[in-house]
Amino acid sequence: MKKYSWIVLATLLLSTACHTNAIGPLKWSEDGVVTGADGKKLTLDIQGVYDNLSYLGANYFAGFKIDKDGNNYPNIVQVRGDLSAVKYWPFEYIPNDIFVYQEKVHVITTDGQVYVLHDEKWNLIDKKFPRESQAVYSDHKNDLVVCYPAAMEKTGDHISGCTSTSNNWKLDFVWLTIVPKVCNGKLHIVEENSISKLFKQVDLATGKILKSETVKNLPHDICKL
Amino acid sequence: MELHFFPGQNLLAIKQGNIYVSQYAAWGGPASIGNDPRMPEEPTWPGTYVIHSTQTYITPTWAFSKIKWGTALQDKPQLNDVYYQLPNKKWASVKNDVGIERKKIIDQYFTYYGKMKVPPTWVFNDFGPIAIRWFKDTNGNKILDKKETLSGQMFHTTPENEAESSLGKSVNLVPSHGCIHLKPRDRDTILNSGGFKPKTIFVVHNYNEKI
Repeated sequence: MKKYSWIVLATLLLSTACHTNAIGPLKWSEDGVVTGADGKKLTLDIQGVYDNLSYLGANYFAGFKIDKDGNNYPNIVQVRGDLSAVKYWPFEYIPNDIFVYQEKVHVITTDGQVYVLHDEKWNLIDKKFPRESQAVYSDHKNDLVVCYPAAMEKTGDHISGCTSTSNNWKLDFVWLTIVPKVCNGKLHIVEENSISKLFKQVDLATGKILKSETVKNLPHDICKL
Repeated sequence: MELHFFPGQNLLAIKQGNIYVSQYAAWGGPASIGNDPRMPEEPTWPGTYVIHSTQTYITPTWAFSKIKWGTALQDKPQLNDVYYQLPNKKWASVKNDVGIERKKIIDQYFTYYGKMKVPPTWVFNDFGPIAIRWFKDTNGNKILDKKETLSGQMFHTTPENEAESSLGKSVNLVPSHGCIHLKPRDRDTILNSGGFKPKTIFVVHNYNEKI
């Protein structure tokens, strides 16, 4: 009985220790302050933090180092779940989206280049998407849906839509600020034409339109459509 | 003095008496309706018009044009936002009011000026610092009367051309959605010579007409 209690106590202690060093998502704010599960805070050397990813015990943040003249230097920062290690990677172009693909951390920069993190280095891979692309869905393996907006500027390119890398479908539609989103296994998109907004529900596997209707009142979360 | 635009030649000419005294590169819309789903491109409509005014232009149609060119900005990296100054001198969020993120502003400034920073003033309005407006003068009195309206087409520069000009680079004009794109220095030259003075006659010629 005594021996059994000892095992229970040891298990509890180990469990508590594991919880304390929780290797999970950190709380973070735009000013570059991250907070661990135990409340411990760490101020990163980046500000204007706009994207993050938690994967396999590491947290990744995209933001800018800013010098005294206001020049911004795009960086991705990796922070361990227990805040024990921090690593910075500068980028020439702005990382637009950090995501997992084929069980590795990737990033798309605003110019559409894709990099994979391997052996603590970001390597450019032979895959390019339109500018300002972002991954809206990944099963962490081969299935990846990337969407790219039309240019906001009048003289910019109006080519926009979404594409699936594994299922080989491509959907051309205009979106500017309403980022497509996967809701209950279906892709929700809102086509932003000059005079109307059109909601469409898309099959992730085939890219086929399952539902289409005009949107009168756009909810904050397009999953509610 | 009269202004004459020849869209088929991408040319704006100033006419004094019966003589064209100067010519400038100027790009209008396409000869037929285009396919931009955000706003289809249209021809710069041929006709005789009257110059009405010069103004800093804003429109809700284009996100970057919701804020006036030259509006003061404040960088707020700790909030991942940029503030812009309202006419009442208070500050408001670009992200909340216009839907443009700080990252996008930095990226756009980098595209135009090669520097990754938030500029001190708004240099992204699609219509540049000044738009020159005109109207169809149906009764010939050179005054914008109640039954007459300003054309949605206008003379203006673009943010990329403003950047090219201010950096001393060659300015490359691009086709418009129906407005007439000018080079910043040409706009200033015509403005200073009185070419955009209100009540000036402005003629848009047919696409197949040549000077």
